[in-house]
Amino acid sequence: MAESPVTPQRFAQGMTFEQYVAYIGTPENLAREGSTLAGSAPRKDWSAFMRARYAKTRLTDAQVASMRWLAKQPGGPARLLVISEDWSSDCRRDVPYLQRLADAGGLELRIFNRDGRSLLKGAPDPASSPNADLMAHYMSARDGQRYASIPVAAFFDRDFNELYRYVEFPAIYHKDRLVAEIRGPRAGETAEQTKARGGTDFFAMLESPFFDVWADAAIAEILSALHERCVLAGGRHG
Amino acid sequence: MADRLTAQRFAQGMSFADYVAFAGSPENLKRQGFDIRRFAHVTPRLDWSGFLKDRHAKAAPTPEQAAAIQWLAKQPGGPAEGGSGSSVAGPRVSKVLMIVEDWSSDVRRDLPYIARLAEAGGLELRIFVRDGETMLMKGLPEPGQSPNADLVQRYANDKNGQRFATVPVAVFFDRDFNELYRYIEYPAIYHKDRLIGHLRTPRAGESDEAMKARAGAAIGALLESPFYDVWARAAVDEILSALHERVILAEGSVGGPPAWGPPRP
Repeated sequence: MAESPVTPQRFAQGMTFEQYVAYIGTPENLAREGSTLAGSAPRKDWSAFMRARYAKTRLTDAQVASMRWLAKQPGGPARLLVISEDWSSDCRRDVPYLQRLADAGGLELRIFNRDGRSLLKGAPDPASSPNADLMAHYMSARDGQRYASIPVAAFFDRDFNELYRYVEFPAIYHKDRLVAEIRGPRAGETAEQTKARGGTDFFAMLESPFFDVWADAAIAEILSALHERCVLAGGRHG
Repeated sequence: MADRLTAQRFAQGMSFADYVAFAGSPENLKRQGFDIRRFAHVTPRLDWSGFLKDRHAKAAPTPEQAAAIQWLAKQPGGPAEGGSGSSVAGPRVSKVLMIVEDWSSDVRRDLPYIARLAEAGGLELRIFVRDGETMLMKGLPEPGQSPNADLVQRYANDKNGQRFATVPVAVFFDRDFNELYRYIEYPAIYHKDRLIGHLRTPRAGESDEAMKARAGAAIGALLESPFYDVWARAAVDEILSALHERVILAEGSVGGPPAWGPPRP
């Protein structure tokens, strides 16, 4: 693995959740290129959505207690780096929950944009994104290709040793399969109708309870992975 | 899979309340059990009925999990409430069959949560025990070895080229007993073999007895930690997500529109 660009100084350049939510609604952010299922699009202001979602997000008692236990372990998680873009439904789903997780464990959380003024296409380029160094380090690999998938949530101990990395969505959410089905043509549909229906159905799914079921699953996946790392390193319960 | 499960066989299982009562009964307690804290068979069994009852009381699904199972239980594909004989058997979850043993920490973890999930969705839950009078140690039960050998065989766990009588098994069906999803043993995020294997690995200079005592205490503490509930809730998420996927893929295959949004009336 390449040397990590995440130093205390670099980490400190990120935004807190509150700063990030405020930033989302700024002209500076809204002027940046956004994205929808159909591709490039003007950004929508998601700041109120993110604020409201954080306010109603509650971890379970067991999740809170688990995070506290982890944070108290020698070498346990102390910092959380998140790479996000507000146009991403996966980011909107998970980032408020990640902040709740950080709240529970007393973790320092810092958020970084993935893109510059334009959507990232291809490999991260320092000339077009201020955070290309971070995104290049956290590229995901799938089917022999590399992707700038978001969100990225990288957990570190106090000394910035990486403990675990969560990327994009929980394993139980087979997003590619579902979205392909939703956006696939139905009998008798024109291409335009497929596009319109597929978009409507996808966004309706984001408003269904399964959106939060997957957010909950992401938290469970993170806690279980951090726990496993801790136990294998000698951590004890009781 | 050959024949479908019959309604008559399903009806022979216990409700959650019946199972908890059975768990504390002399009939159950005289059966051979196992205590993970001691890595030993125990007869009579430990009485877990109070534990299961208390755990069930605390295992409420989150509001989103409750809404999700209600949505799944209201999908089209079956007849109107109370009807029967529809030729359109869709992925509308309606029934859950579980195979359990109370000596299993995986069962004690998941059964109360799945029972609460079934209650939230109005699903009919029926519970069957895996073993007869003695604990099945390997392989699958022969007919006569367990009153539910037929179900254990039918829902055996295929893993690494072998078949195991793993518990718990939770099988979700539509109203016509078409199987929609099968959950087995523990959620995918819980790497139990790795964790327990690590805890049971002898430390330098440790005798077998000392290892058993240390590992038994460590596993006992793990089962009392909050991660036990994190995994239980993850199991519910895994079940809901898989049933949801089944609905979406099935609907697409018949050319109908995906059933998003609020639950259908």
